[in-house]
Amino acid sequence: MLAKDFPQFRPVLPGTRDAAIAITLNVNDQDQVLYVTASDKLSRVLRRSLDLTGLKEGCLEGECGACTVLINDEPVNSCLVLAFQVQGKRILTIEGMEASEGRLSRLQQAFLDKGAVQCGFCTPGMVLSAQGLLNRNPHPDEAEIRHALAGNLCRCTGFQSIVEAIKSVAVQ
Amino acid sequence: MTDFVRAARPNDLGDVTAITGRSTGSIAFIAGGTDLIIAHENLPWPDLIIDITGIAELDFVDVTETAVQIGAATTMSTLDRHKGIRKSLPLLAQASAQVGSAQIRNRATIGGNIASAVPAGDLLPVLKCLEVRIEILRHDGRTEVLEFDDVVVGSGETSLGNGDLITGIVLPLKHGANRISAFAKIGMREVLTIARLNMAIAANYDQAANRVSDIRVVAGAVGPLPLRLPAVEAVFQGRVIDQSLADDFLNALVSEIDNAIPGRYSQSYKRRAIIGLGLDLLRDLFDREFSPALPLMEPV
Amino acid sequence: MKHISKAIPILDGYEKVSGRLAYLDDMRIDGMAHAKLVLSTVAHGKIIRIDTGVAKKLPGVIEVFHKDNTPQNTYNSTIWFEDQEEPEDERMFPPIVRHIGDRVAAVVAETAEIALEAARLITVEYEELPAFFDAQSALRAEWSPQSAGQDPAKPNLANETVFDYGDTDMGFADADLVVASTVTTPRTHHCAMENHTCVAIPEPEGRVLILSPCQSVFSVQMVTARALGIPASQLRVVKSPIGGSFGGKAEPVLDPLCAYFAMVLDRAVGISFNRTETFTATRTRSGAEGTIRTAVRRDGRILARETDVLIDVGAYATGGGFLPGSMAQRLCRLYDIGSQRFRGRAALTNTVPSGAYRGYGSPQIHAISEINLDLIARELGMDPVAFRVKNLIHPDTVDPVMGVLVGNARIRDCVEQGAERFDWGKRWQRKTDSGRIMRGVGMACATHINGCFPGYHEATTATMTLRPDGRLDLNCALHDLGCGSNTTLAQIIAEVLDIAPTDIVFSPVDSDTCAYDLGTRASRMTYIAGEAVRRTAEALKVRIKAAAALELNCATGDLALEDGSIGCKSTPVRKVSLAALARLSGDRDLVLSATETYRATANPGSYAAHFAEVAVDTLTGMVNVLNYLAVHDLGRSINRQLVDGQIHGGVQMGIGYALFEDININPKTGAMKGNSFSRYHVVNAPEMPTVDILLIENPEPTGPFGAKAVGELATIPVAPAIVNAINHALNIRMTTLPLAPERIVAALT
Repeated sequence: MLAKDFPQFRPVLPGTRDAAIAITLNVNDQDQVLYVTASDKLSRVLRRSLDLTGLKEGCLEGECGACTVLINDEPVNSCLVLAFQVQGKRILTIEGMEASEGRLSRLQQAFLDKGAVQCGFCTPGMVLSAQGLLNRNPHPDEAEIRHALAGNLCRCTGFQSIVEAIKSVAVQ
Repeated sequence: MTDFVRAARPNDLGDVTAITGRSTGSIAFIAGGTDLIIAHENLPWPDLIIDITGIAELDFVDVTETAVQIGAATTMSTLDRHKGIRKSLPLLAQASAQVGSAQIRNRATIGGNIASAVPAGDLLPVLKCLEVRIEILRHDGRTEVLEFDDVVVGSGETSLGNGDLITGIVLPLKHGANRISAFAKIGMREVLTIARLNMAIAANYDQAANRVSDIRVVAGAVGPLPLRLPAVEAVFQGRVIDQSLADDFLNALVSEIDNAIPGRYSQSYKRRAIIGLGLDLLRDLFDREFSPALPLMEPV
Repeated sequence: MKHISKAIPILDGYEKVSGRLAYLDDMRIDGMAHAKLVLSTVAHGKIIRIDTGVAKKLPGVIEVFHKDNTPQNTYNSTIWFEDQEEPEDERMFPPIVRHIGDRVAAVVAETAEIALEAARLITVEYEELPAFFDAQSALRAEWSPQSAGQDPAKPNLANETVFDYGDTDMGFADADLVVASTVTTPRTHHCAMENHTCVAIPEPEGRVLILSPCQSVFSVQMVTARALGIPASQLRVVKSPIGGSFGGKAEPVLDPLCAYFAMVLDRAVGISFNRTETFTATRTRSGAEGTIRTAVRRDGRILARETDVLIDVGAYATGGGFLPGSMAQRLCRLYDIGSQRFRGRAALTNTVPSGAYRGYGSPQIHAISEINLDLIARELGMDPVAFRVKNLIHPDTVDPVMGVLVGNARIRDCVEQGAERFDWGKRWQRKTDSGRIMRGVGMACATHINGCFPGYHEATTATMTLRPDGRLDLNCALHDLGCGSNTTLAQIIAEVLDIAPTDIVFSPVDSDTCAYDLGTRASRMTYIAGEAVRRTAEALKVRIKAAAALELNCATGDLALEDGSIGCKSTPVRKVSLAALARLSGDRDLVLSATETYRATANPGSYAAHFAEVAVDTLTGMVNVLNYLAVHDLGRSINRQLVDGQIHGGVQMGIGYALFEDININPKTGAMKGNSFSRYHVVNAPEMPTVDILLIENPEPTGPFGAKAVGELATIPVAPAIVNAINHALNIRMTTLPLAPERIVAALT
């Protein structure tokens, strides 16, 4: 279906060449309808339209991993996905990670307890990459953990406490 | 040209043709987007962006006794994890596992890797080494199957026209169980690094005779296109695999670098680094250690 | 001790790990317009024409700012107090741009997308001027429009500092051996995960509120006031949560622009840099080339040393003028050397400006010195550890540059205990490989300061007030840069008053409500701010006891605080919670509050010795750091988890400094090649070794509970330790950092 075939089509943003497209998707267990332009990045739409500002745009080239979210359980850089591509997909962001309102998941709690959090800017992406790894491999060894984090940069922790935190959840 | 960028998300290839056939403007196909979106950070998008990740017939891996077929929208992660690929084309699984990060591998596709034609792309030397043929759906609905060299024609350049889509790759499994292969790369870091050199080798190995035949050696990041190295392949002709062959193999690699990038700043580095890459490949291929051809340490 | 030396999680950890903490770019600010900068594409050039016509016509564009419609006041972005005089050579939008990435114009628009599109429509014409991309050639220039230097004949010489003590000539005359080496360190970038960003919001009566992830709200206030030519009192600055800084956000870059746009347009304006803008248009670590000649006796004693350092500080003076002096100061506090001569020169080049960056000159000067020391040990045929031990300083030495005591300097313990733990002797000898992969070990020592004493304004003022809910308000301009310094300070306060660290409420860092402070710089948080809050807590304790004496009818000497209550030691039933005490005292019109100013009287050194084992692929030049031990003399660790975090991160940054990191300025064009994470490699998780840590906890008498700094120091010895290990592995003498694979291969062929 072409954008102009979408019933909700309307030109937006004066001065730009983009038009609006409606997509439906599930974000953090909630069905959503979002209006996006063809070139809108998923990271921007999640941050702006849904106020999910836990993910960050650190580099816009898939190197830093601060924008990592899970799409259908797999970690991806949301800055390198166009929003209209995720039609019908299931997305998990850091805001959907908590076990229940105000109660951290075991993985998040491990990050906190092991000192894996310093400035916190990389933390949401780091947690989601770790969750993506654990979804597929519940008992990773250290090398597998480090490999899975290769696309998540942290400039504070030297990764050691992050690896420890993931290990502590993995061995249980 | 329209005054806004349109998007389309077809569900099958018939829809693709319907769209490309009536479209008059410029078209970009997007799958993983890991190269395309970066490229458009500072460039305007074309008139129409067509997402192909919703097309089930482009996301498949089919491994039979005689052939392998892979849909263009198959991701690196899928290739890396696919049992059939790991068994029949370990080279492809190995190279896919070394592309980017986990996040990138979950998005980046084999079709996108070909279409981007990045000289340092890790899959390109592998695909050339494997003699894959590339399936194309022309904008007018015609389908064609082309040789790798007829599709990837330069640095970031393919022969595809506006609205032409890579739909998959196909390769006959003409070799038997004695086909061995290996892929290795060198970058700045161990993981998540752009290759400064990469190489793929595949050959039939007669273990009893300790000889190889039908060998193909392809290097990447030594020029705009992946480079097949016939002089290196020739070294193996009629020889048993031993240290003396390894010496000639490594020396031949060095000569190839000297021929490929004479006078380049990177030449002096790459002509030595390729020895390391060559040794890694020999070890992976034959499961034993060989020594370097040159004196390792010049006296200081 | 109950709260000190405990590994409690970082206080704002929940907000961070849940993704709830709103950094500046995450905040929604009503009616905010977005600015996009146009940056110079030439390295040095006079702006002849800026064509903004097309851009301005784009719907949604509010205004385009450039040199002709903005204040042309000159300023220096390094200043941190009102009357500070430093060379002023920076302008918001200079008429002559001095580096690729310098500020040419800014579009303010309704959305970031429109601003971006409009910025692309602006065309700029330059008259290009001769440009210099390295310090050597810049110093040879006889004319330059950039004349911030001291000497009109040397327009690009920003500073020259000469220092000497003892009889150096005699030292050289008496020497058995003189070993010279020249070490070059790269220009590097902080790579804090949060890019640079700023928001300014108009307030009533013409004032402007600046929200900024910064290291000092007062620095932002002073610099912006100078740039705009308005009184500092017109500006209110509030620190926003910060996604890492490492010195990169110490100098305000965007703040003056944002404030001016907001003031003129009378609406909120935000600027958010992308990664490449953060690389090319903010600050970097200066590059240095340092030659050391060292005179030694055959037995390994150093008699004299001569050091000459040339520093590339980039396009603007900023704080570059302090670098030669800072380097001298740090160079002379580590080894006991009879005589030294030092010359440091800072040169302006047409490259991105430099500024503060974790260690402020220390990583450069210690790399220059520690690599030289290993080369000396090799010439002497001595073990580098034994050689260093022969020359290291002892506690309570007077440092010859500042003339202050180095305090309880336990560097000898670091080296000796570290060598034992690392099994140095054995690993140093075990060099028998001859194959493709060569192993080697290396070590390096380093020292860093604790605060700015005896420099300007080295003081911190804190106010604590006990609230009726039992919690404690702390008002102090404490800029936690994300490493958890507030948690450390809370533990210090908790130890004095025996309340829960989580019951301490940190006031926002606001220039309108906090007492003046230097902010976070010069490794002053734990040592200076920590002592300030400790003393304030002690003063409050006296008041709490006085109030409790009235309520409990008990002698103050008989009172003790415990778990958020206070009671009589002799009559345990007489006890009152601090919450109740605050309420009861309120009834007596007594506010339980204390304000103290702690003015530093010392500047002890923190010390470290790092040990590394590497494996080098002699064919590909790839280096693998196999083992790493960091030994730190930090007096006492307040929070072991945070200390470890600082050291791990410091080692990570240092390995990058040794092996990959370089902004890579093209010597012909001045363009920065390493301007994104795909072209500027930082160490990622698979590259990092597991770091072993040994702490030497021998209290520093002047520090809070004996503590001194660790964070900046943690990165300083890393690069020389790695370089020394590589040189050991390969028996070569590499001295140009980073030791990238090509360089290693080139050294071997």
